[in-house]
Amino acid sequence: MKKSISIKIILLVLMLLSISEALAQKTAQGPATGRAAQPPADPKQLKYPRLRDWKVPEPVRVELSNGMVVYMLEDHELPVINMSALVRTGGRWDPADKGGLASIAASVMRTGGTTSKTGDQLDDELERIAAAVETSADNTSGSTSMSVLKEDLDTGLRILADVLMNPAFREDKIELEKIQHRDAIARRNDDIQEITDREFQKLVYGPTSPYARNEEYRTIDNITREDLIAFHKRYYHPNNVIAGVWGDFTIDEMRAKLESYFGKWQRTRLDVPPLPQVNYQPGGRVFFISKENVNQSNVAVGHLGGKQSDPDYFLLLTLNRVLGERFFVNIRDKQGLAYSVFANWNAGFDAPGYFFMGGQTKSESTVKFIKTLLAEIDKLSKEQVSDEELMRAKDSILNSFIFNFDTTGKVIGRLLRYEYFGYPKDFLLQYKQRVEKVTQADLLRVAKEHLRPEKFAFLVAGRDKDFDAPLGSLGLGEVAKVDIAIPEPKAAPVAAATAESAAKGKALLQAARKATGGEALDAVKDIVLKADAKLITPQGEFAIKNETTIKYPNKILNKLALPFGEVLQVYDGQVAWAKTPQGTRELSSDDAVEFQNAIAADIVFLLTHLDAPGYQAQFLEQADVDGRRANVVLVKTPNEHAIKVYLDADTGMVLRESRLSKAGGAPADAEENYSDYREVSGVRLPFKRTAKRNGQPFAEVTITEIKVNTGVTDQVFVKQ
Amino acid sequence: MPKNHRSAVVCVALWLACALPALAQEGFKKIQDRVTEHTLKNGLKLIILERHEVPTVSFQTYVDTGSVNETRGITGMAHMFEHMAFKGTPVIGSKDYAKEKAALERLDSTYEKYRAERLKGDKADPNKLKELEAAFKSAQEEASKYVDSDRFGKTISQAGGQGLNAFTQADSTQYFYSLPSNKLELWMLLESERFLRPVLRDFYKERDVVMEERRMRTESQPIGKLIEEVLSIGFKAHAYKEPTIGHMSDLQTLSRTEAEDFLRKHYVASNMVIAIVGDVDPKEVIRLAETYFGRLPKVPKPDPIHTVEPPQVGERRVTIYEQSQPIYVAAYHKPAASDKDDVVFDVMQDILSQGRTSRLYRGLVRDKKIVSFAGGFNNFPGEKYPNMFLLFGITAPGHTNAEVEQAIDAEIERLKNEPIDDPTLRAVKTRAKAGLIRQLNSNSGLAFQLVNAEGKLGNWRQLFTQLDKINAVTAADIQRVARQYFTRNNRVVGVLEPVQKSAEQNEEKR
Repeated sequence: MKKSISIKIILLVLMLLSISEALAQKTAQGPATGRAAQPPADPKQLKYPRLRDWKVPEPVRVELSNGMVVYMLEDHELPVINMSALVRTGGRWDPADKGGLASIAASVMRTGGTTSKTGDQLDDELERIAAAVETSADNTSGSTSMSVLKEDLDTGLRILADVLMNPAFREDKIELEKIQHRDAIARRNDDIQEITDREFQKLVYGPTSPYARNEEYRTIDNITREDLIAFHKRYYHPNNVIAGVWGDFTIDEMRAKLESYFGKWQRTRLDVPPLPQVNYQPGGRVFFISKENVNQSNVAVGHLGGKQSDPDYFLLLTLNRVLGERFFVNIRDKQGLAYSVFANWNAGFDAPGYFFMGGQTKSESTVKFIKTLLAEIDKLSKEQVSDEELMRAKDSILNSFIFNFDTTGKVIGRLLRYEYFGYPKDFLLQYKQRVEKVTQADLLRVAKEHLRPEKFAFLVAGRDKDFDAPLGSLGLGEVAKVDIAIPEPKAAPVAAATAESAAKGKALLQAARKATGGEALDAVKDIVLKADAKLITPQGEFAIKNETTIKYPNKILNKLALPFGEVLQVYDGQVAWAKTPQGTRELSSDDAVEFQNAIAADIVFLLTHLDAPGYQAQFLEQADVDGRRANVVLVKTPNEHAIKVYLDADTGMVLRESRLSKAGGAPADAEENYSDYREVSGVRLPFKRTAKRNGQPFAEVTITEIKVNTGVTDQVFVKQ
Repeated sequence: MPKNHRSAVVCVALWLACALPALAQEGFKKIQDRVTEHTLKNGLKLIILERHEVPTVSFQTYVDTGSVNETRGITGMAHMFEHMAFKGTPVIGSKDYAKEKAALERLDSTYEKYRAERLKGDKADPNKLKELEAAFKSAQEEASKYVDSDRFGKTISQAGGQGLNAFTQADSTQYFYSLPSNKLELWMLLESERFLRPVLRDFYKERDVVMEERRMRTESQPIGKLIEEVLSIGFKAHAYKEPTIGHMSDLQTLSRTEAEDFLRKHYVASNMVIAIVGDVDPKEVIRLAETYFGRLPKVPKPDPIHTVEPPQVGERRVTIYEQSQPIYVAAYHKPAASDKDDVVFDVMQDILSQGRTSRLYRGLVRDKKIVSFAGGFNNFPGEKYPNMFLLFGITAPGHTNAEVEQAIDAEIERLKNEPIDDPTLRAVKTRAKAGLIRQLNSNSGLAFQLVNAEGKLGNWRQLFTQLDKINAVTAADIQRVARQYFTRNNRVVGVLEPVQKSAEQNEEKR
């Protein structure tokens, strides 16, 4: 009370003073006109007082008896207390077939309630007092936060501790969280910027890298309550947590409270896996995503980058400022080519980040925009930046340094991140010290070393018929189309066939048989396909040569020329075996079944067994296959293998097959797309095949030669 | 005795309930006591709030003009001018202003001739048009030669400026950034000069940038398209119907001369409010403001807008078919934010959409599972004039907009038919108080709140007195307001349907 009165008096005095001084100024400076002299119009004429001394708030770091680290900082301005914690976990450790696990588990820790309270009860209790306790996980960490009014501190801490220690993972909230994730999957192609950012990361890290992969309907479906419980058990321990708390409390009081609420939480030996490796080279340079309902292109250009611990990191940040400023002036201001144009040296803390530049420009200036970006990069790695540019970049970093400390939340948050990722406490100070010494030569050196246009991947999303020039005119090789179709959810149980759907299915397959060659198909006894294939793997893309021989009805030999030598995969009708440079071995009976299934899905085999005993067909629906209308027919083989066959509604030809494959052990949705049909010995066969596994591109196969009825002997298939 | 005992308990409970807001009230009062108000002779109003924790200061300039102040044919001008306010002055951003000025005058006259011919459309003489376009382009290049690009922004960045930006809304245009507090005078210089002597250089290139912005925000964004359609059918008389970013054909036609006219009319001192929050001495702020901003001429505020949206007489609906998942939007007409009932809409917004206990969350997300997210939004697209209360649902996979519409309608009926219970209403009031407290922790956030309360509601203290108004809302108020405004004839519905569906529907019709 006393304080507020004294402030009022001071204010009053200040107001009075300001009036008198303004008057004094008038009389002093303008007796003739009564007007003040004109103030300067040029900022260069201004002199600034020195920024007043100011102490960086220093949080107190304590380690609770159970190993939980907590940074504490008092801030008595407002009656509010906030807490935030990082837990060493993250989506990058999700199993490949359970993408989304960390995110779902961390959310349901809170929404699914605790052993004593349901999530709804927690919602009621917290929202009644305008408080929040939340848990989440992103790719590199788990996060937990609390925000309460001062008087509700105990309620907040009690709930926070309960959520961290005793989550109950109730099923209803798991399902609710999954709906949110499925919705995000369904909507992920609605916004062109989101598409571009996401797909660019896949070009940089590889489509299946833990740093770029997508959640899919299938991976969400695979996640069970047991997975969530195991996730919590593995990662949520006090010695795996770094927390920060700031606001209106005293350190001693807070320390005692934390011991009392979190003291029961037992420390455990931790089992956090090593970091996933990053090591990928895209198979091409220029990539395109077709988006019809836009009149603007989204462009992303860049390559893999480094970590913040790289000694050049601070120099790269400085360089990036210069580049960003040049983009703004040269591309936006002077040419009006974009509203948004950016460059980011996006370094990770503990894993490589990436350099990323781009923006949005009207469809008609797409190629011009890309060339302008490249010209700027070229200039940056050939000429030193100007004195003025260097000075401005330095000044802007150093003069704005104070804003790193303008809220207690920022100060604490930064320390948490540094400790979590193993960075020194004074890392930010090192940035300042390095920037103070930066030279033009430094910047030229890091531009040359770290910006490598020859390694850039280019991604454009937009409407290519409106582009100013084809993307091929960039002269960077073939333009690869990126398929962003969202893989279907796991097939819902198919309704039982009716007489009508069975008849329609059979009729459609008969039409396909006729279109593909009719009786000429029956004459095919064996077939040899030679192909150039591109395999897309987490380690990168590999070009290989492949030769497949099938002797109907039940023998297959697959010969692959791999970098380390030739590999054979063979099924002789009974036994499956493989030969590698290491030797020959027999494969499992599961593998044998997989070969049988692969033969069953072969187009010639399929269309010559329509009336064979044990085969069933059923029309399911119409669907879109890459812009073509298709009839979907489900075929079941005598050993219950289900193949969805997509038949072109206009021509009757097979466009796609999808089935569950067990190749390599784990079951996966295997999809094959067929195109470029050509006639061989009276039969029309596809010369282009693209394969997907679980919705991810897996192989692109260009068939160079098909031979029919070569007279291959059974001996070829017998185990050597 | 039992009676007495009971009343004692009630007393204690009441005391507890009253004591907490009282404590907060004292905190709010302390903050209000740190505010200094000052109005310059030319009518420019300053609101200064001292916060000495860190030597930084945030600035927020509120100009009481937005896209509603545009006239037909120049939609997008308020926003276009906002972009031009970063282009500098005769001193800042020019390599040789005498020559630049002459070049800009030539540019204006060549553009007027080119535009006049172009506007003839089919009747334009193609050769003459080509000639005039070439003359315009060459005048533009000539003028560009003298431009020192982005000098204004570079100066702020070099001084350590943070968060430099601006935005234009239907109601207002606002400019803001923060500086280390020793650079107060730099802000005074730049901010007064940019409105006193702006040079609208590179206008036609910036117009291209704004067209890119329109393509990005509206034309390449399914939800952007939907919102533009809902507004265009939601208002038939009032300028809230127009997109703030402007229509493409208007953008293509705007001229530098028109922008200067707009500036002279609307960027006058009496139309501006400035908030300065941070480590400053109010006396020093006022002294500098008198010196720098006192130079703006004293001109009366432009006339208020007289067009009033007439009552809507029937439901209006729009459906757009897009490559996007479904979205449902419904908007109900309601009075301006200055109306006494506006606060009731704020309370309904909280009840419907604040947090996991809200009705839309529990009803539609948790129980029916037909949306992934749903919410309510008061004062759409602006608050100075009668506007709309917007409800939306992000329809979940496997569900339809029709289901969402039905479920949201049911929640609206509930507001009309069931009185809100006491605990719910109390929680809303507690959240309003806590929400305000949490807004007070940043200079830039406070500056934003202060100018908006002053600019749109007439007094910055409304930021705090709003709480009293919320505390006075009763269950009966909510029922009354819901019944009065949430009627079918008074609403506008917009739905976004996936494009495949439309194709199928067309086929069915054939």
